[in-house]
Amino acid sequence: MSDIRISRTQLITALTWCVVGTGIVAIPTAIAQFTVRDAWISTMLFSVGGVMVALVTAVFTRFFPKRSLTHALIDAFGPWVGRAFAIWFLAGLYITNCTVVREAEVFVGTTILPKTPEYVLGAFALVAVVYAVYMGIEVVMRDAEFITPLVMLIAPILFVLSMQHMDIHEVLPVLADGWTPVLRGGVVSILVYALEMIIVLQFSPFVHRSQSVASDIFVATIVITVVLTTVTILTVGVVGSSTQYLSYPVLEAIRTIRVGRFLERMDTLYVIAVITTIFIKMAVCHYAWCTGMKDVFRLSSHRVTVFPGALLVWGGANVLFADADDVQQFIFYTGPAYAVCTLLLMPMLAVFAHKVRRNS
Amino acid sequence: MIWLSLVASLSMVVIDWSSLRTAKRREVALYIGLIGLSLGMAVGYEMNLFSKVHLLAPIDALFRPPTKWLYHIL
Repeated sequence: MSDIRISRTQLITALTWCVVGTGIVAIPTAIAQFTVRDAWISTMLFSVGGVMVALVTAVFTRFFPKRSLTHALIDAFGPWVGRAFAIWFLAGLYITNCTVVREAEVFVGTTILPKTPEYVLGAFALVAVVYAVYMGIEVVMRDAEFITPLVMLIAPILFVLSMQHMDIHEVLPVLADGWTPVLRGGVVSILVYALEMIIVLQFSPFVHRSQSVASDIFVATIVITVVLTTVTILTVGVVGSSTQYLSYPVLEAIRTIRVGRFLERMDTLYVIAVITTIFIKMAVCHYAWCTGMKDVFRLSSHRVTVFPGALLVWGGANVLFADADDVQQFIFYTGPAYAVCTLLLMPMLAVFAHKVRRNS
Repeated sequence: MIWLSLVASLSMVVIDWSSLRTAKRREVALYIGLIGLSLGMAVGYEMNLFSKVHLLAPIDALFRPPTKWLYHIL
């Protein structure tokens, strides 16, 4: 286990795809509930959450070098209270993974396989996730690395082609309704999607240089902010005020692409890219959950919980969220406070308890 | 969903059989527990049990008011 090492590039790419995977689908919709014209400013606020995560990670890795968050919680609070906190964190990770799987099921069901039962789509997605996680973190990270050039080839083509229908007046005037809708729109991207990057603390024992994890998060934050802001500007520019009524506004923007009379239906490429990046997110979340379970239940390997854990995620995704609206309501109106208490407070509590114990 | 989860559970046990035989008792108990929970979820899903019982209700009750307050003060 100690021989497993992941590079900084692998960590940055995995983090980027983890957030962009579902973020590119859900963030424009979430922000459009509050503001359409200034949605791009709300998206840029993602960087605030990213910087918060980088700061927390910097403090955490200083006090717990080469320790995962669950391991650190047990070290800091002792076996019983520490395990209780770790289980709370793992429950958060589990619910996050359930939302991701449910979002993937609904997205694939709506866009390409409308006649297939959604739980079957989830089952097939998890087969691939289980295989990657079973093989280990290096395989998951290499997958993230492998898809990077493919997405970097497809995404610019789609961006440039969708610009032909863009109307810059859709994003003007800037801040016409003041800062209130912009800040409200930014809540989900700052407190839900940015805080998800704290998952990296489960991987810090495997990172080649654990001191550089905070700066890796900072780099990933810049990349994600640029990508999401570009996508939001393009979407609002193409789709306009209808963005707030659409479940998948980015998909609609891509669907407008038509070059001559022979090049259209480019949305297939977008769907492929989204499914691939969501796969990375599901694998990263599941691996983090399995390593957490290993720490909490003192298992011999993370592999013990890979198969039954994936089955539990599959069941939970369909049982916890009846439909896409259920997932959205949870992410918009429960997710922010839940993410702060689960993802942001847990590492800070571990550091605080460690400091108190050391001083006493 | 019940059939799919049963097939998945059996396949998992077959794949993991060699490692389960050498696993500690605690690990086997956890393995069986997780599978049991999943099967329970599948049965509940098929019986439409979860349209009446919302499992995330405690979390919603705890975290929805502070989130709505946050939206309100912004």
